[in-house]
Amino acid sequence: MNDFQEQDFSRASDAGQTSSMPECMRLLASLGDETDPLLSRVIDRSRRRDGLLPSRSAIEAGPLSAPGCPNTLFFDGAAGDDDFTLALLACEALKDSGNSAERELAALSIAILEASSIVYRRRLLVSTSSREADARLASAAAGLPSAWARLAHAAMRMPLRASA
Amino acid sequence: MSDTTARSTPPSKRDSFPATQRGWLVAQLGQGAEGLSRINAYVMQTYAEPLGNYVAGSSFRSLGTPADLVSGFFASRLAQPAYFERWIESNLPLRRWLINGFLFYLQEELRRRKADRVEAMPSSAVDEPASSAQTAVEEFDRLWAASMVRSAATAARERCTQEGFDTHWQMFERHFIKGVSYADLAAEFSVTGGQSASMVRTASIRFRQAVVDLLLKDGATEEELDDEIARLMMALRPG
Repeated sequence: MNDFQEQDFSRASDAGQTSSMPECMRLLASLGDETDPLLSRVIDRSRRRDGLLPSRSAIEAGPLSAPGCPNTLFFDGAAGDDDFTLALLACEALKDSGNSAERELAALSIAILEASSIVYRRRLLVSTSSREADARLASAAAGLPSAWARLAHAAMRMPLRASA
Repeated sequence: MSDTTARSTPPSKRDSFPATQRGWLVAQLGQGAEGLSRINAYVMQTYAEPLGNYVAGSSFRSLGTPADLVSGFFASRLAQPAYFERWIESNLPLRRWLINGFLFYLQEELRRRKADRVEAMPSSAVDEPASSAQTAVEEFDRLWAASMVRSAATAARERCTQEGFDTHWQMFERHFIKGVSYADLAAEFSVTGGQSASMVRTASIRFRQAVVDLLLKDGATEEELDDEIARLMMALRPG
């Protein structure tokens, strides 16, 4: 029975100092922290480097092209409110009805629209908070081709308008 | 009365786990004395802390030190033949089975000491009513959840270190515990925003796996995991 007598409760108090109850709750909550599960899938594939991420041409020929040239509108900043609306509707339609790859393309495209809106209009488009936008942009940037990833990175550093 | 009857109500659907799916512990039981020894070691390592913390905050604390009481409980129960076979038959999560058994053990101790008229026994312990079983279970769930999360974090941190992902773990903790944004992590660790998300995700996946491992060992099934995590979050929520 010696095994049973050798419990050391100093471990318990030490552990209690390491992670308080609120910290434990935040850690547990991290398990459900997926701004968009589609972007989580993208980021996982990016981590695995298995080459199945959407190409630049696929992104630029996708729903972002609904109002016109995505480069001119969303990368260079020529888009007006109607262009954002039209592109967002096309993204959401693809996200609702597309196959797995198309839905991921839609999620990345929405993140691009968010980035463009932040950079050029200083306001959020789809995210409900700066924290959500930060997670969306960072996750998308991990899976975007370099030019569009730069836009997402720029948006992550961009302050929003006070009224946004 | 046996520990099995300690629950006042039948287990709800969410409490119930099919005996055939209790993976690791069941597999160990099939390996005889060696397996049983591994189970006992695992149970002592994993459940001693929350059981000790529970008794330290309960009206039973004057019965002895938490370490002595938990050791006494393990000595009395884990040595019983078929103790874990009876757990499987109970269809309870392991932690629920253990806290039920622990409460019985504490009440047995209380009765034994009253019967023995131990002079050193503080009167407060003798006079205090046993805590409500439901309250005890809820409090133990809270303590167990915290202990489980700490164990999972330790395991995930160690795995990250072994795999050369120390920085990834630091970023994970900074993001989820301290609330540092990915943008600020990128600046702090001199990486891009995309890399910061990717690195946090790497650590996050290891933490999730560590949590899942512990929940499966506690008796949850794959299908129950999301519900179980939600329940534990509720248990940890203040107030």
